Order: sequence, then structure tokens, then C-alpha cells
Amino acid sequence: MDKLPQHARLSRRTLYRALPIVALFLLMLAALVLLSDITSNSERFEGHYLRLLGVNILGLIVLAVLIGVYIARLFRDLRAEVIGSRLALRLVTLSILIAVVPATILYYFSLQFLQRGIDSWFDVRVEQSLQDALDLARGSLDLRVKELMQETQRQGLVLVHVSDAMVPVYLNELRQSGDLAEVTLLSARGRLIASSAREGAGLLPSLPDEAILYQVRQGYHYVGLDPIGDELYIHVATLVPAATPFSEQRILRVLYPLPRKINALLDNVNNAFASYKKLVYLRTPMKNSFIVTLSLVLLLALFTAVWVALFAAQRLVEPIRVLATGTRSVATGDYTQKLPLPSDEDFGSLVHSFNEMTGRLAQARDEAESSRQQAERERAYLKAVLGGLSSGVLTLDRVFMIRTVNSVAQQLLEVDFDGLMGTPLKALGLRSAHVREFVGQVLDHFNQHGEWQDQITVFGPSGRRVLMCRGATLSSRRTEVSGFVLVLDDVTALIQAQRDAAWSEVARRLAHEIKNPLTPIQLAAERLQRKYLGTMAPEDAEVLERSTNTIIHQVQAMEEMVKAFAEYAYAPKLQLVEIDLNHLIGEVIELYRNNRMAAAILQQGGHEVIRMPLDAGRIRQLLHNLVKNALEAIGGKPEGRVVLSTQISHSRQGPHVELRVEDNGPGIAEAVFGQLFDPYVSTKPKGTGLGLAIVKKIVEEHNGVVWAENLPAGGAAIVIRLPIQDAMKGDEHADAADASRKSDE
Amino acid sequence: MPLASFPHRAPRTALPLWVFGVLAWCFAASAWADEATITQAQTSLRNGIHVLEAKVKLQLGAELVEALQNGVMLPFKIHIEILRRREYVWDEEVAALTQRYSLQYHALSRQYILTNHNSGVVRNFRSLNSALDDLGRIKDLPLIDDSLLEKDARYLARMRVALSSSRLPIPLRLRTYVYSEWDVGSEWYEWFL
Repeated sequence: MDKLPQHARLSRRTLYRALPIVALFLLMLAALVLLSDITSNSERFEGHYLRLLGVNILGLIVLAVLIGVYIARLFRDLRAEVIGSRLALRLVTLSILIAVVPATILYYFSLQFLQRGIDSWFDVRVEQSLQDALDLARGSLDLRVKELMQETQRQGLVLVHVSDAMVPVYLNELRQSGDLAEVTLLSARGRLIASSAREGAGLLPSLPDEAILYQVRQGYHYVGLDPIGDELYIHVATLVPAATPFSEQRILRVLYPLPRKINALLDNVNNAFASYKKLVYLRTPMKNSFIVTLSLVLLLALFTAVWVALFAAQRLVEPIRVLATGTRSVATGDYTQKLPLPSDEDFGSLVHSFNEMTGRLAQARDEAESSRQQAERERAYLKAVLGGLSSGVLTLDRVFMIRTVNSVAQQLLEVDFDGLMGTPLKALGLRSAHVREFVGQVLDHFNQHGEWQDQITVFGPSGRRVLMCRGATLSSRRTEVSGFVLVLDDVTALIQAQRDAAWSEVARRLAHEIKNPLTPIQLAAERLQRKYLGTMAPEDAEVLERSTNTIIHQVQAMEEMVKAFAEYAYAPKLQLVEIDLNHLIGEVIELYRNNRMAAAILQQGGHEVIRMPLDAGRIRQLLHNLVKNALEAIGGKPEGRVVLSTQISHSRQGPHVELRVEDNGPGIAEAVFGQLFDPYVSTKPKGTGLGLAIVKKIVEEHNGVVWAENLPAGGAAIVIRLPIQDAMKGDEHADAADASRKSDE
Repeated sequence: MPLASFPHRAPRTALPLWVFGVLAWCFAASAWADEATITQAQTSLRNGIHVLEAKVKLQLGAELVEALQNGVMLPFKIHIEILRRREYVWDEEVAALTQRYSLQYHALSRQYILTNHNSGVVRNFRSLNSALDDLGRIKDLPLIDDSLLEKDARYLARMRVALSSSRLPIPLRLRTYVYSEWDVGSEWYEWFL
């Protein structure tokens, strides 16, 4: 991902954004320079005063709006607690303080200087002297004015008798003789009758204003110092009385020129006075316009400073914000984010380091992830291998906490390990009573030896199991123990098979080695009887007969015994037929109705029809054996009772029938519990010792299990569990058993 | 950035209030500023030329008089326009004429000097009222040659008088924008040729 060019572009874009503002600032600065130029009485840009003012005010408004937008954005960020906004606020506040305080102080003192400076131009004494000069000028002319007025009056009286036709000539003469500037005769209404003016003056005969005419008509003279053109003249107007009552009154108006020097002096005095007066009058407006300009300068400086502060703060905070965003995303575990590099060198290296760091983190994370996945795969593989093993495997850590267990181990121990992972192995013993002893033995072995091997018997819910246990210590380093491994193998069947095979061999041998000589023995005994009984003395004959009979009976008994053995050893093929187990049980019980032992034989749950594939003959033999066994156990006990009960139940392995044969005899001695179903294990004085062995064989042929229990109320129970659906497979099972037996031979 | 993105906007009612305030101020200013009134104006055809005769009543407020007496020259202008009436669209300007005057106080002679910059005539007056009367009296001012006008069109003439603030000294110029007393000017006075 190449982010660098994009970054450079970004920072350039921010700079471009500042360009219009810089241009605006320069424009306003130029406008201000011109404005101050105009304010200081320059006439170059006078006409643009308002325009320049407008430019500045507009610029200030634009800046104010921009600042407002920035500040609003800043406060919005503050409220939203955007990273860096606090820093931005601090920077802005600081910058504004740095800009505003000196500027305000400067502004205040500038105003003071401005006020005092302008005020210091003016002085009451100067004004008074100018006024005095003006009065003096007027006064200096007073005498001359009076003379001229009298002179004019005199001329006017002379004019009374001059006819209108003669007036121009007379006026001309008058003007030339007195070196006057202009002599004019007017009618009382102000109409020009005649006029004579000095040549080169370029004066038009100017008409006096109505007020003067009115004044003169009323009989008052008019005397004044009139500015006409660039010069001052003494202006006298007087009434020329009417010559006759019928003739008209006229007005004589004379302009007397002043000496050139005096004229110039008067003009100077007047101009100085007027200028000073104007300056005094314009003092306040001038101050105001200076203040306006100064204020504009201040505002421009302040606004620009504030804007620059905001802009700079934003620029400064932006990389921090970017960095913070990056850090946050890294904190949430996203290492893919590459931060754009700012143009700033300090931040640039920081961001570069950050990017490198996230890159490394991502790499490390990826490596960790891949190794974790690999470990997971290996673990799954190991689990699959362990699951696929026919052996149970249980691993413990160094303080005997359960770490792993495969399903075979769970099946072998008949313990549900859910929720037991990570708990001490002892807890397993506490939770399931049947493995308590097993757990104790295992722990003992581990405490004593590193590597060990032993057969441990477990009485689980589904019967007795002999487990071949092999323990090994796991050591991570040379000395330290990191855990233990326990491998379990169910050798029950193996031992049983070995035992069965051994017994079969015994039976076969018995049949061969014992049964074969028995017939000749019997035959020989019978022959002895036949041959010598009749020939012998009666007392000898009696001895012979008794002895041979004993031989014959004992041989017969031995034959019986051998036959039973053969039966046990030889397993005919199962003939599975769908029959009702309860019905079968009923039939068997029926045979014992009138037994001599006077014990009651009862059936519980017999009304239920349990149809399942069974070999009727063998099951019948099984029932006979069990009932016989129970009756023998009860012996002569009064109120003896044998109860056969069936019940369909469901376990994890599926539905099955549980057949219980309970008696209230003395129960089974602990010593024989383990070998109860082995041949020739019996506590009874009579019997072949094969009854329960045959029962077990039949049960196993039907793919069931059998075990014995001592009842809490006294007596014993033989419990048989036959699977309902898997019974059909018993066929194959029997075949397999046959095959294994044959191969053993 | 658009204004709409502001988190808190000023209430909308503020804007009409502002507009109302500004308008009210404008009306008030124009109402107080009728120191100049054109009382009469008419044109007559003389020798094929339309000549104007008009009378303007001018009065100056105390501040203007003070400024005048302190040596400030007061510039006035009379603006005359001749417009051709048009249907549906604005009128077309045919001719425009501006008469410029300046009124000044002469301290030494205590006289008011009125200068007509168009004709160059300078007149002195003892009183301010005479000067203003003279300024407001327009006689025989030729406006336009009749031959320049179309026969079947209607022409409207209008005139107004005002203190031309652009010729005032800079420090005073601001006042004409701020104070109504300084904003001397008449309404347009209209008549048909």
C-alpha cells in the first residue's frame, strides 16, 4: 500500500485551503494601506474611500464567519471528545492570548496618542490670534471704507441729474478718474442700466443679491468687503434719489479695488483663518475616521491571528489525531491501518515508526496466528489419533489435574468427563464411586514410579473391567515433571478369552483323556460283576458288587461331569428366533411350581411382551441355571423367594432389556465376586461349578453383559442386560467367537 | 463550510426582525431628510429646445450650517434625466444632466459664495437663505433639442437635488452614511415633457 503520495497531496491540500485566506488578507492589507493613505489626506484614491471601507468590512465578516465555523467545529469536537481537540483548544487559546493582549494594548495606546496628537495641533491662543487677525484686517479697512462710502454717496448725488442716455459715459469717466474696478447703475428693481468695468479683470457685471437691493431701496447704504473672483473689493451701493417725483430711483454700485499687497495679506489672513477653523471643526470627524481605520487594522490583525491560530492548531493536531486514531485501531486489534505520513518531519518520523510498529505487530500477530493454527491442527490431529486409538489415554499435569482424555478412556472408565477438565483426578474419584479405587491406585503408582504398568479392575455400571494401565511421566526438561500419561487397555475380554480358551482346553482334554478311559473302566467293572459275581462267595460277592457298583456309579458321574464340560466347551451355533422373553420366563417358572425346596418363584413385569431375537433353548438353559442357582443359594431357608423381573430401559448404548434374578439367600461372598462367573467357582457343596459360567457364556453370545450384586436387604441378584436391537448381531458375534476359539486350537 | 452544519443555529425569527429594523431605519431616515423639496418643475419648448424652469426649497440642518460656517465647502448637485417611456420594460434614459454647485462661507467678508460649476458663475450672498434660494432657482436651463426626440414616444423628465457626499472631505463623508441630517437630498420629481 503506497500511502506516501496521497499524504503529500493531503498536506498540500490544506495549504491550498489557506491560500484564499492569505489572498484575502493581502487584499485587505492593501485596502487598509490605501484607506490610511486617504485618511491622511491623500487625494489619489479619494473616490474609492467607501469601496475600500466596504472591502475591509466584507473581508472582516468573511474572516469572522470562518473563525466562527472553526470555533464551532472545535467545540463540536470537544463535546464529542475527539482526540486532540483539547490540545487544539489550548493552542488556540494561547495563540489568541499572545495575539490579542499585545494588540489590544497597542490599540489602546495608539488611540491615546491619536487623540492627544490631533488635539495637540489645536490651540485656543492660535484660534484667538487668527480671529484677532481677521478682525484687525476688517478694522484696518474701516476708515477707507467710510471714505469710499461718502465718496460713492457724493457720486450718487451727482448722478441724480444725469440722464440714462448719458450714464455710460459718465460712469466710464467716473471709473477711470477714480481707478475703480467696476461702476454700475441699476434700476431700483435691480435691472442693469449701465456699467463700466476695468479691462482685463474679466469680470462680468455682477448683479448684487436681492437682500442688498432691498437694503438700499430702504435708504440704507451697503458697504462690504466682497470676494469677487480671486480678489477682494470694497463694495458700496447707494441709492441715487429720483430727480423728479415722476422719475425712478436708481442704485449706484461701485467696486473699489484694494492695493495688491493688502489684497494678498487679507487673502492670507482669511485663508489661514478658514483653514484653521475647518481643521478645528473636522477634528472630531477626522479622529473618528482615524479610529475607524485603526480599528480595521486591529480587527484585521486580530482576526488573521485568530484564524492563523485555529488553522495552525488544526494542522498541528491533525497528525496527533491521525496517530491517536491509529493507536486506537491498533488497540482494537486492527493492524492493517497504515497512517498517512505528514509532511512535518517530527511527526513524519513518529508516524513512520508507528507504521513500522503496526507492521511488525501485524507480522507477529500473523505468525502467532499461524503457529496457533498449526498447534490447533496438531492438537486436532492428536485428538483424532487419540480418538482413533483403541486404548484409552488420559493425560494429567504435574499436580494431577486432568488435561486431556480420549473417548475410549471415557468408555472404559464409564465416566462422563464433561466439566472435569482441569480438575484434580481425585475429583473424578469423588464424583464417580466406581472409579475411586482405580484413581487411588493410579495416583499411588504415579507417586512411586515414573513408569509403571499394572492391571486394575474397575466395577463399572456395565460390569467388571480389567484395565491394563501403563503410566509414564512427561518431562519438559531434564528434571522437571510436566505431566503424566496414562494409557488404558481393556483386557477383560482378552483375559476372559484366555480363560475360556484354557477351560475349553481343559474340557477337551477331560473329554479325551478322562472320558476315553472311563468306558473301559465301566466295561471292566461290569465284566467283573458279570463274570465273578455268581462264582464268588456271598460275602465276597457283596463286596465285589458294592465296589463295582461304586466304580460304575462314579464313572457315570464322571461321564456326566465330562459331558457338562463338553457342553460348556462346545458352543453350538445360535438359533435366533423372535420370541417373547417374558413368555419364556413364564414357561421356565412353570416347571418349578412344585419344587421340593418350597421356595416361592415369582415373576415381575411379566405381563409386558418383550419380543426380541433369542436362542430359546440357550435362554431356557440360562434361566434354569439361574433359578437353580438361586434355589440352591436359598437352600432350606424358610420363606425363600426367587424373583425374576424384566424391564426395558434405555442407556447411552441404546435400548436394552434388564433381567434380574433376585434371591433372599445369604448373598455372595466378597472373596468370590471377581471369579463368580468362572468355571468351578462356587460356594455350594453340590453342583458342577459351571452354572454361572454357562450363564455368562450365553449372555455374551447374545452380546449382553451379566454381573452380580448383593442386595442391601440381603440376598443376591444376578443382572443380565441384553441389547434389543443388537441381538441379531449376536449371530456374527458367536461366529467370531467360534472363529477365535478355532484359531486358538 | 455551509452554515447548516453549525450545531446550534440562531433562531430563524431573528432574520425577519433584522430586516424589519433596517427597513424602519431607512424609512425614518428618508422621512427626516426632506430638507430638500422640489416645489415646482416644468419644461417648455422654446426655439425647438426644451428648457427647464424649477424651484427647489433647500434647508440646511444646524450641523450642516455649522460645518459651512467652519469653512467646509458644501457641494450640491441637481440631477436631471429624460426618459423614454416603454411598455413592460424599464424606461430608457435618453439624456442626463448634472448641475454642480458649491456653497462656501467667506469668513472675512461674512458672505456665502455660491459657485455654479457648470456655468462658472460665482455669486455672493449676505445671507444663507438668499444663497439657497438662488441655488434652488433654475431658470431657462436648456435640456434637450426637440429634434432628438421621437414624435410618437412619451418622455418623462425627472430631477432631484442632493448634497454630493463624494465631494465632501473624507472625515465628513462617513457622516453622510450614518447621520440622516447629513444625507440631504430630495425625492425624484417627475413630469412629462
